Amino acid sequence: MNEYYMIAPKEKGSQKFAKGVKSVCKKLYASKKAYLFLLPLFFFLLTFSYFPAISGIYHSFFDWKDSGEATFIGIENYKELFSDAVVFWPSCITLLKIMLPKLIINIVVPFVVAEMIFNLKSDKAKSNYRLWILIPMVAPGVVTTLIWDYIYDPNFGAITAIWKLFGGEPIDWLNDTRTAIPAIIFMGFPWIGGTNVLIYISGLNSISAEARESARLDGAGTFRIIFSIDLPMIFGQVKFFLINGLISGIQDYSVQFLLTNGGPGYDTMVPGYYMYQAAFQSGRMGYASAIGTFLFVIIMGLTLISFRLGKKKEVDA
Amino acid sequence: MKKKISAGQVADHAILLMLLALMVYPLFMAVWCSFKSNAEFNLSKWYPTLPLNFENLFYAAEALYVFILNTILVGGAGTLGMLIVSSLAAYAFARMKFFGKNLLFMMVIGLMMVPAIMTLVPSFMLYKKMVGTDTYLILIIPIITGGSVFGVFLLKSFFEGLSESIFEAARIDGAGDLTCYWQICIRLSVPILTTLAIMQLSGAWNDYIWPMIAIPTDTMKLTIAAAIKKEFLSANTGSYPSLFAGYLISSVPLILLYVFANKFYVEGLTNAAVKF
Repeated sequence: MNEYYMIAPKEKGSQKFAKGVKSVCKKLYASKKAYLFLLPLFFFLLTFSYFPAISGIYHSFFDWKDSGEATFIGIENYKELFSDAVVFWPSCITLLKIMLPKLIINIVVPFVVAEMIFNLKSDKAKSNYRLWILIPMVAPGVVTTLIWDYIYDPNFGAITAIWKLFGGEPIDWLNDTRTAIPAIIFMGFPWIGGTNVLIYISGLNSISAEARESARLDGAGTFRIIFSIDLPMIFGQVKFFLINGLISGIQDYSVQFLLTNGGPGYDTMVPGYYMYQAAFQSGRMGYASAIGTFLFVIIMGLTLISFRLGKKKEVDA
Repeated sequence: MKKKISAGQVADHAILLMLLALMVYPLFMAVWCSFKSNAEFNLSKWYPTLPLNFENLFYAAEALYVFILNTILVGGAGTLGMLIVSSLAAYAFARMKFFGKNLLFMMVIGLMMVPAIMTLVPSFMLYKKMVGTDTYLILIIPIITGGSVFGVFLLKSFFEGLSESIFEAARIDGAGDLTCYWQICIRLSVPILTTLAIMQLSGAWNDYIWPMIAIPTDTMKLTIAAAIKKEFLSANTGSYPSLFAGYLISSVPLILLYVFANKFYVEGLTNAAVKF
């Protein structure tokens, strides 16, 4: 702290102040200029980030109505939530059924494609492919999802057309108990558009060419190099996609929101959408806050585990 | 001398091209179908045809331009606010010494662990009380707040990387912190600020759940992605060419960014993916 007093000339009289509270006040006062720079940020963060987070946990113990009226009811919301075997627990299973395959797909497929682009000889082709990979990002997410709705259309859609070619009966893919979940997982096929491929490629680029070259001279084939050199070196990226995918996957209910409404029945219901419905369709803000808090605890747990894993090796995606 | 092209390379190219074709086909199909009349669409939806029919696009542009303007207003104001708020704070964290710095920085970074889904409901209740639904502010403030955590994180490390000698020289010339902030940090970080701005703008462009909750009745204030879902979709049920035209119109600004600011756009996207 000493060098800090040197650049704060207003601090000349600090000797007469004893230690303790007064010196803290003095330090605070001396930092006033920096606090002015921080003031706008902390105004927004305290009011609009910290306050709602705490308010959410707090109100999960209340019967909190749409109107703002709140009555304390203890752990009733949680009791109701955890004993709900019709919607809530099945929705957690559904979440896993949708999220885990998507997670694996989004880690493996972009890696394969990244290797395919990376192993091309022509640099020009490499950069062209990298540009093309990003094209799907120019459509807003809502548009991409709605286009997939069209692809699944039982009358006009491409999937139905192909299905009919093989003599299948028309199926309403997203509205049929048998196909709704697989259809959601299949969305986005071939799952390569976006940034994952690029992040993998930049990881592959950072591996030293010498290691690769000497392995090749020792007679290692391309696949051998991929498994023994590339995979261990890009483990950081894999871990990043895994954790990030889990955290965003738990929160994602865009398909339910845009297309299925959790149906047919509760077949595609996920906890996030259940929370949305509780709050904005039934007006049960307290119950919704309990679901939100539950998801927060799960995500927090995953984040802490990831930090522990991260200590062994830095993630630099 | 002719380079020898191995069979492996040819196969590699062939598979990649096939995957890319599968990837872009649905999007391209939506593009060419938006140039078809309903009759043409029923006959030939799988491939492009001439003549191009611009009616759908004019219709969609007319129906959607208000929402595009809304998004530019809301996203622009929110992004500008976010840039100011987070660059000021990043300057303090990177170049000033003050009491409680680590604690305050932890308070900022710690928010990355609070998932958006948890704060959705209580945020709505707070905004409803403080600024009211059906206002532009209820859309702008979350952009400032949500973006600034990552903004501080990114800008702090950039400002820290600037050479101390520039600042010393400025101080000798009598420059205070505000001058250092504005004349040095902001001037030198235009590229990274642009990247951050594009990230934030495309975030605002893509968001639909919050705008749909926050604007329950005054639908003319919706942003584009929300308007597509709430207004445009139900008004054009079954008429796929008009729908696709709407999708195309709503993508135009992002397409422009991709074409004219590709470097910043790609960086913004990759940053967004690294964002934790």
